[in-house]
Amino acid sequence: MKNITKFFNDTYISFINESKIIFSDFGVFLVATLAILIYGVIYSYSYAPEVLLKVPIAVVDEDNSTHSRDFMAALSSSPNIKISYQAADMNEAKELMLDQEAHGIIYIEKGFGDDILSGKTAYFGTYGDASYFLAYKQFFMAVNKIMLDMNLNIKYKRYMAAENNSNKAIFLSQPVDTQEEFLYNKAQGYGSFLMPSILILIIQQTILLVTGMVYGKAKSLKSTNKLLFDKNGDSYYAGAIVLGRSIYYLLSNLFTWTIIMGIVYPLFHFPNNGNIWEIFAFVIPYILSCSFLGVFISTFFRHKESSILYIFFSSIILLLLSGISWPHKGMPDLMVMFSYVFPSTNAIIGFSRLETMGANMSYVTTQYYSLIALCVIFYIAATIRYRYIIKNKL
Amino acid sequence: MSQTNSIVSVIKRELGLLKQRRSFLLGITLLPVLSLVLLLTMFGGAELHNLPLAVVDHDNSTLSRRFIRMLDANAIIQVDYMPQTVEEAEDMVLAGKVDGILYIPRNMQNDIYSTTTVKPQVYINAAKLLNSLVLYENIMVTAQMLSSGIEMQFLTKLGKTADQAYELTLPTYYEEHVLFNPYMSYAYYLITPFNTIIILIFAVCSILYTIGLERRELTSKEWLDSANGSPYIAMFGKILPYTTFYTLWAIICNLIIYGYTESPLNGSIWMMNLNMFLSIISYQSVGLVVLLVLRKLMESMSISAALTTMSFTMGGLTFPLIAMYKPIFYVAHLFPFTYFIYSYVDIIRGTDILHTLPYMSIQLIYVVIAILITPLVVKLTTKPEKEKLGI
Repeated sequence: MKNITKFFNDTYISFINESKIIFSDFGVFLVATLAILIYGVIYSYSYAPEVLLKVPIAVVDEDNSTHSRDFMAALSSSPNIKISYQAADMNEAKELMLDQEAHGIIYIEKGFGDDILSGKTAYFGTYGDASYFLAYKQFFMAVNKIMLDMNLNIKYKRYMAAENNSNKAIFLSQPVDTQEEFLYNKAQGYGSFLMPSILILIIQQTILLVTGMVYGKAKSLKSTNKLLFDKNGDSYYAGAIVLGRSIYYLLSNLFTWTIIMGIVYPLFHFPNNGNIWEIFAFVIPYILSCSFLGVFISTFFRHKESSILYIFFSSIILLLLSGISWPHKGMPDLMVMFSYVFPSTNAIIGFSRLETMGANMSYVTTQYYSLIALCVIFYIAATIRYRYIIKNKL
Repeated sequence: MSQTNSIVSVIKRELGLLKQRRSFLLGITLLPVLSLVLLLTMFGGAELHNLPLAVVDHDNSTLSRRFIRMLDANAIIQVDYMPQTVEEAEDMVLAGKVDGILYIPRNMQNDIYSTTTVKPQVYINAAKLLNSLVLYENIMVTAQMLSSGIEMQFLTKLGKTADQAYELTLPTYYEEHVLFNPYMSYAYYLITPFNTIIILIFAVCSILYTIGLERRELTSKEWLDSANGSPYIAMFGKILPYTTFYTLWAIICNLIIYGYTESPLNGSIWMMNLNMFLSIISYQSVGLVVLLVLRKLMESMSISAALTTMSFTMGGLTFPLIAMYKPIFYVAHLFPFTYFIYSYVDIIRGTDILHTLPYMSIQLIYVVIAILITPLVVKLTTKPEKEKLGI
């Protein structure tokens, strides 16, 4: 009984110590609490237009026929691209592209209209700028769609002239008319796609940073004993220190996460299809596993700045490792397995399913239990580490 | 003591400090190397393939099976599941097993025989935008091929030759030219910018750390003495080992990325190296400005690292600058990395150097500012930074 009381007492003291250290150092507080909000808003605002519209392109119309002009009119009516230049020839158009003034070229050769009239395939050239991936996709998909519509039109007229039967003409122009629907992120927004993952990742990275800053600071001031021993020189329970320190991060991140879900999400219209209670139920083991991991790793830092060196660069790697932009299928298996050591990988996958796709908890059981398992593993690892430090007075 | 001698003595002192700070030295040298290895392994496949698709085939006819075979033959698509209903297929999307669904309606084949247009339905998981756009494109191209094939069969029945029929199904068509990144590879496209950001984080943080420690450990007088009292020499000698290391590392990275992996590069690799060097010194300069403004080591390191990471977004390579709101568009132009990206894209394309150099040299503005404030930064380190744990 006495042990249990001491455990709770030690947990409480460790929690208070962690809070005091963080609140007494503005730099640490900034990273611990404000970073996710500042980062979240700046990134969200950067991606807020969501969809890339009016990609500037150049056209070279050497044909100058009714058909080529119809084609150009269709191009200019597309919201996704914008004819910014009518170049005299390909050289001029390519210059515009090299100077990054245009991200695509449509080249209509002489004879385009005549080919259509004589029933031959009339070719035009598309020159897309693949150095900007998104701009290229937008350009190419827009041109492809316009071409298909134009083809349908031409074919319909031809088949009407031959068959004089509207239904048959519609059928012949396109026997298979595939319909598409984009799920969960209907406008195919870039921010809606990327931001949920970034926000989740920031939680982990800031926790790893701050736990390291706190311990590193204590270490550089030669005061780690204040975290480990009471005034009488008796050590706190190792498990209680780990828990107490982590509770601070749990509470602080639940607070910021509420602001993210309550203000940032609606403000930027990110897909909000999840059940808020399930989201929090999912996020809690995530925050805790990050905290236990951070409390564990932090003991290896000797200055409060060291964690910055080690943690920041990993953000980029971890975002990629989550498989959000480059699928796990394209990576070596060993690397994918390694990525699951970090709570963010499971959390990004699970959160995207719950919140963006509106799945319920039964679709994220693997991720959920993995996070709980990580909590247990990191808690035990951290406890062993603190016991070792206390014993050896490191 | 001549100027060269003082520079040498500052460098010697710095290298001596590095020897003592072994874990710092290992961190700032090995981690960038590790990052490149990770990036290269991660994107090892370089091209997307076998994206999983579920097909709900309610027709189960010769034609629908032909459609499925055509999809499977596409290297990008892999038909992994054949569930009975769309609901079942959607479960698979939610469970992360597939990225898209193709629904083939009942009577597809019969409808075609009775000249009725059929409408298969594609559902794409747009929560995973980039993969899904590629999957979507390939499904649509395959569906279009199927449609044209059927159309051609009708045309040949009407007495057209195969060639005539083919041309009639496609009144117009494009010849696609993918410029500057002919493999359309996401990997080729991202490795250099990501790798550069990682190098920049280390290039900035390492110098802030070593400068900050002079202040914290009250050694700045010793530092200045080794430079014979000149703040410029003190700063130059201190930063030089780091700048040299990261520049050399950047050159090695470029040789690996553009030599070994054969990423497309139309311009000169030396322009690429120069661009990375300018980027390194401009971010180190930004770091010094941040240090002078915030005054504290940890704050300036975390803010500098945060600004560097943010630069990736601001560079507009993934979500282009032209699409961003005006305020962000202008703010983005305050980040040196934005000019790095402009120049990087130019060099990849092989644009005339005269067009690239002005953009590239904008990065130097920050270096000029850093030189101007150097005496103030050095002076700052002479004032002790007080630290308290707070408990």
